Amino acid sequence: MQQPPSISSSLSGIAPIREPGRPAPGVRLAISVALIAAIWLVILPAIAQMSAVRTMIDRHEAHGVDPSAKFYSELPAMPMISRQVDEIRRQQPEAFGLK
Amino acid sequence: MEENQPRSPWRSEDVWSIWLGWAVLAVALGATMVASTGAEKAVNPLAGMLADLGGWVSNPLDALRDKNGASVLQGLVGVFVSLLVLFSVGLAGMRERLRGFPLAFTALFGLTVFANLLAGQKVVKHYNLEYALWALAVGLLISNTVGTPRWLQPAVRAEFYIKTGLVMFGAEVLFHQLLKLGLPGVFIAWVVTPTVLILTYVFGQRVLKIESKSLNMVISADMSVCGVSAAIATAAACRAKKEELSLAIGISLAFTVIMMVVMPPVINWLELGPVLGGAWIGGTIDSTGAVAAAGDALGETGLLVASTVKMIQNILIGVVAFGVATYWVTFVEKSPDGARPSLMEIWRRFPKFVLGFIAASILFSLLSTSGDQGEAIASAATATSKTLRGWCFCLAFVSIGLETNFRQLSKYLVGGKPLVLYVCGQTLNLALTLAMAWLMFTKVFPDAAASLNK
Repeated sequence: MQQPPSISSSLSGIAPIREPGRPAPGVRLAISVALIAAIWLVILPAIAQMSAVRTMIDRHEAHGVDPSAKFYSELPAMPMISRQVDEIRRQQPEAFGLK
Repeated sequence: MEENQPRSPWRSEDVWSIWLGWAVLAVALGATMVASTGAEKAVNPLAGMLADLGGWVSNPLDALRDKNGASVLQGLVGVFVSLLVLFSVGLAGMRERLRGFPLAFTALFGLTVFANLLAGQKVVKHYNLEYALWALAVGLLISNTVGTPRWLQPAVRAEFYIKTGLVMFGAEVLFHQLLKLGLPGVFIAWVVTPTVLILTYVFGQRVLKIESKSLNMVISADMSVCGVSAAIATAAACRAKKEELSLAIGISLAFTVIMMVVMPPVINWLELGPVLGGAWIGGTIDSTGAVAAAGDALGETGLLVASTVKMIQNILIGVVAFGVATYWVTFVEKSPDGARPSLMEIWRRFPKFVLGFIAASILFSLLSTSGDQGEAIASAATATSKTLRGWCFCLAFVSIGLETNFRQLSKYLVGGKPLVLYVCGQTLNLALTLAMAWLMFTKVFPDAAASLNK
């Protein structure tokens, strides 16, 4: 039986990756963390203050829209939407091809 | 994603992921039923014991409060303790070493909280840059700089977290929602979507000649069904490699952000209207949250139609997971002599956790259709499993990142075939979905569009 290599058996990336001419692994991690801190604590908060972005976020929150939802059950507006659609469909089921 | 070599089927990861997932669902359902007896509405007493991080703009500490201002710290401790106990029991049941697991799991959970913190920043969140991306990034950052420490290895169990999360996830896949929009919804979400999935997979194999069938399938499924959640389910069903799942999710998220921003103005420019435009968005944008955001840009009707079409498409995830698992063990994983496997062999190879996922889906679908009380109880009970499965998936993505080397990812991008597959598949998806939505809402069921427009 053909089987792909297992996730569990692939243990690459365990050892620190040392490459000639590049900063030491610990330094690379520290630089990356500093970069993340700068983006998340300075740049993104500044973007959030932009009028268009702030309006979009406020509109989403007011309408129960969570753009990071991965499934309908994670969408805050879904129960309300579901009730509205049920109501519309019940009023005119034949319009939706239902008896 | 292949499971470890089990000594007995009863000690396999597949079987234990079912026990653990079902245990969570049974406890949540039992507690909700007891607490709701005689009460006016369904109450899940366990829901308050678990929590997700809140959103934040400039102060990350704001994430420790939910939208009502209440602290989520107690809920986070609840999630940590629940998952630590759950997976410790699972490892013990599989007769695996528990030594080192609590410490390793604590560190992994800390990284998962950090990934969720990154995903909770409101600009990131409202542009659909989901936690899966940041969880992978956090893991990759460690594994590709200082390396994943050996003491962390006992908790790096991506497959186990994914399978257990998927079994719990089954409770949210409710089949009775299929007829929510009547026949137009069925044709847009359940006829076009499988057609696009199959044609994209065949295109990848016959035209692009993509070497890895599992990569081909995961990209086809996440592009045609519902992004990250479909990628997780399909990757587990066809035993895709961890790099393949990471790559498929990366491509999907990048295109989702673009489509979420570009589609509403294009729809307005084409004057398609909120019903046709909403259906087009719902059937094509990968991620559910991005569909809602793009639909909302078309107005209230756009949000309503887009979200409902996506919800109907979401349910397809159960059928796709089962279909892909069956196809894989029957036709892809051939015997060394090339012969088609017997039914017993198919059963032996079949990823059993998929059955746990489907059973949970059927049980909760039946409960939800048993009346208003049943629907309320099912909805309240899934509050517990929804929180825990979200953390399970996030733990899985951090684990995948911790096991992945950038070089392993880059080899899949040579020749750009995955990208070409996604673009061609999505183009077909856009064309077929628009054609079907137009046919349904303007020719076959124009009264449905008129009702929705009111």
